[in-house]
Amino acid sequence: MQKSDNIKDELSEILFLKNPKIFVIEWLPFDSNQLRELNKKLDIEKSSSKTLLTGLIDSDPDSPSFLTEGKYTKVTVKDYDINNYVNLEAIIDLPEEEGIVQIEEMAVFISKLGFIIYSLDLREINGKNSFMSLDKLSRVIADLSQDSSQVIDSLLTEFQRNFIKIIFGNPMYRPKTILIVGEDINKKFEDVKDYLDGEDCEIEISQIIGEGFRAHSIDGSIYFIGNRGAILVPKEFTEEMEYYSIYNGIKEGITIFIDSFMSRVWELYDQTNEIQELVNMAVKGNTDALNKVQEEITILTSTISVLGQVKEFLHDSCEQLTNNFDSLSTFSFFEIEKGLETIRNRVKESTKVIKGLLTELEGKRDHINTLSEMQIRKMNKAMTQNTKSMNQVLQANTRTSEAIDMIELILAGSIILEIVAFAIGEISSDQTIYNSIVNKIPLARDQIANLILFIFSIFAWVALVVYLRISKSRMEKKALRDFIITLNINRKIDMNNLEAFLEGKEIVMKQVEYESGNVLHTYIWDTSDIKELNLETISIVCNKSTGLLLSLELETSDMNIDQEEKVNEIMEIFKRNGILE
Amino acid sequence: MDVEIKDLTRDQQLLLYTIDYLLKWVSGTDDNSFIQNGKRIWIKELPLLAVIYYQIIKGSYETYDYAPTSVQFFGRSCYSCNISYEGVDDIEDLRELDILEKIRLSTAKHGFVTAYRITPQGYELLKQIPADVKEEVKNLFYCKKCNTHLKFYMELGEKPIIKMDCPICDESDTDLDFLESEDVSYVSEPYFIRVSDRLVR
Ligand SMILES: [Zn+2]
Repeated sequence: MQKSDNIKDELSEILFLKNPKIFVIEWLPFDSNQLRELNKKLDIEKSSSKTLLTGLIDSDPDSPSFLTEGKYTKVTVKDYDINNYVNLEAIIDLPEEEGIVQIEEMAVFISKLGFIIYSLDLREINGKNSFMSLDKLSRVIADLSQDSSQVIDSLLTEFQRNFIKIIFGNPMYRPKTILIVGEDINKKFEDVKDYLDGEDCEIEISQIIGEGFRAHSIDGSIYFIGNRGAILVPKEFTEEMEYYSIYNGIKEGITIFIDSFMSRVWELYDQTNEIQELVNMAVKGNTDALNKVQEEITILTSTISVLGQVKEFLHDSCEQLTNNFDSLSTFSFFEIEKGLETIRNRVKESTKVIKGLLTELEGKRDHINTLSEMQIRKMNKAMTQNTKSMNQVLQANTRTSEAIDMIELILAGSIILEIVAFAIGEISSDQTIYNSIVNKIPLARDQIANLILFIFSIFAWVALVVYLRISKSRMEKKALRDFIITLNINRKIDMNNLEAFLEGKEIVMKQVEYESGNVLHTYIWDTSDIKELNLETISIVCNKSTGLLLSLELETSDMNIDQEEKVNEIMEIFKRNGILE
Repeated sequence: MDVEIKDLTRDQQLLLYTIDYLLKWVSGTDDNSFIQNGKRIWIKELPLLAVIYYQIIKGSYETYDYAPTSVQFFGRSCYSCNISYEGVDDIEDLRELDILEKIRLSTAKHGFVTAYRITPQGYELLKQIPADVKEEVKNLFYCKKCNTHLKFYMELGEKPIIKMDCPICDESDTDLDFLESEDVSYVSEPYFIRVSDRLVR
């Protein structure tokens, strides 16, 4: 005979339940908005026809077809109260190993208070009906816990998925609580405490609802209540019974959620403390630490505010569940009110912690911002000093070279004299004015012509020197454009706004560098058209992976520019364009 | 309390020897002090339970069963692990007999971890463990090809894996399948709750 399971061991089964109903209960962040989204997805108002849903998201909404991967769940709307809940029927068709046949159909109740109940009547295990062993039931439950995640996954909003991911990590494997209701149990003891034998009976029950469970026997009904769930064998499963046992499950479901939620809160508490280490390093002048701490604060703040939102859901749900609850002494053994009270206190506690964390992070952020501004100022100052001393050296150089320049120019000018001499040929000594003055000879035509020539030559010589001087200084001015102001910024910027800002600029250079996982972008744009800016180009380097503006470079031809003022002017422009905060 | 080896069931003897074996395994020493760099070595509960499960499916224990039990890792994802409650029970019994010592530590990630080590009285008992019990343990965790102890480790990634490897060859590399869920065939029908309107108002 073919095996209808793949259990590797011979089980010794002691306890059996007759016709068990199984409820898997969990709590997820839900409210009426989320419920409305769900109704939209289910197309509730249109029809109750069968809808095929998969665990996947339609990644290509424009495509007329939709691909599934072999496993899917079929969901039908059974009934609903548009503002409060939806009741679904789900048929799960997931491939199993050969020989294993699972006809898995369940009801799914989703409420605006966040609790979700997956419930079913178990008809057969391995072909056997009526009495089913707890050992086998534990295998069915393991299967249901996972499959129920699959069913609900496609019905959740992106918003909820994000919450679940933050709280539980892998959203498919999250803890849920179990409720099993049997019509009868094969072994009955006079005293219900006998189930707690420390041996087989106790072990089989513990496997399902957790160790250290409580056992009650009231009017012929038997109840086992543990921290992972409950097993009930009531004389009759009345509506009253159903209400209280499900309410107990809801209470357990929220408790499970809060346990994980608080773990995250305390984790963030630790991480916030760890940040102080980085702050200390940044104070000592470690630029890497400064960058890192800014990033971490941003990430932590956003995670904490997500937890803050989850807390709001928890709070609203708890308040309503407490208000709605109908207390009845017959079912006081479930200790539902006490449980709800504990949950409310824990939510209150988390409010305080989350608030404290946000305040602390805010303080750290201010500290770091001051620190990075101080760093900018310090750099500005150092830079101004550097430029000043560079100016002095340049000026000294200029003075020396000016003297040499003059001699050069004078010599260059004498070429004119050579040319004139060349043009008129040799002048004999008796033709000069000097000759007529010394020898008291009246000025003849020759002497006057020579005088005019001499005066002309001097003028031409002076004109040439002046011309050469002017063109030289023009050339120098061009060469001096290479005067550059560089500044490390290291501040968070808005990448989108930066890109929008750059779109209107005349980019002369764009460069991308990959540096140990970081993508560094360099942009240089021409600003020589904008006279009042008095800059040739502006160049920036930013890290797109972290969203940080790393450095700024300004190129100007004005040697006497006030750098600090210029930098502030550029920062102002960035601020105006929403690039800097 | 004076305990003799005959006071322990065969399964308890096997369990005790397994714990001893694991401690030797992780410490890499035969010395009973199990001190590494001046620190005591304890064996964590989860890998111990994984090994017990592996021994059960290999037929080592006479009375142990196991069942899928959801275990939350670091207060986050919850996986169904094949845990033997008979094993858990015997661990507790050995602790009550002052053969095992238990420690519960809070972890960096705000969960708790339970770990065990053997008491001096436990080591006295270990000297009397029958040879066939020792063989039973050794046979499972020994690479027959290389004649060496298998190494044992956990990978706590997306889904935790607990496995053992031969440090020399890859002949004996085994996943302990601690998280592999076993399936049964079943048929279910939806059960619609009757108290919807009363639950959500
Ligand atoms: Zn080997």
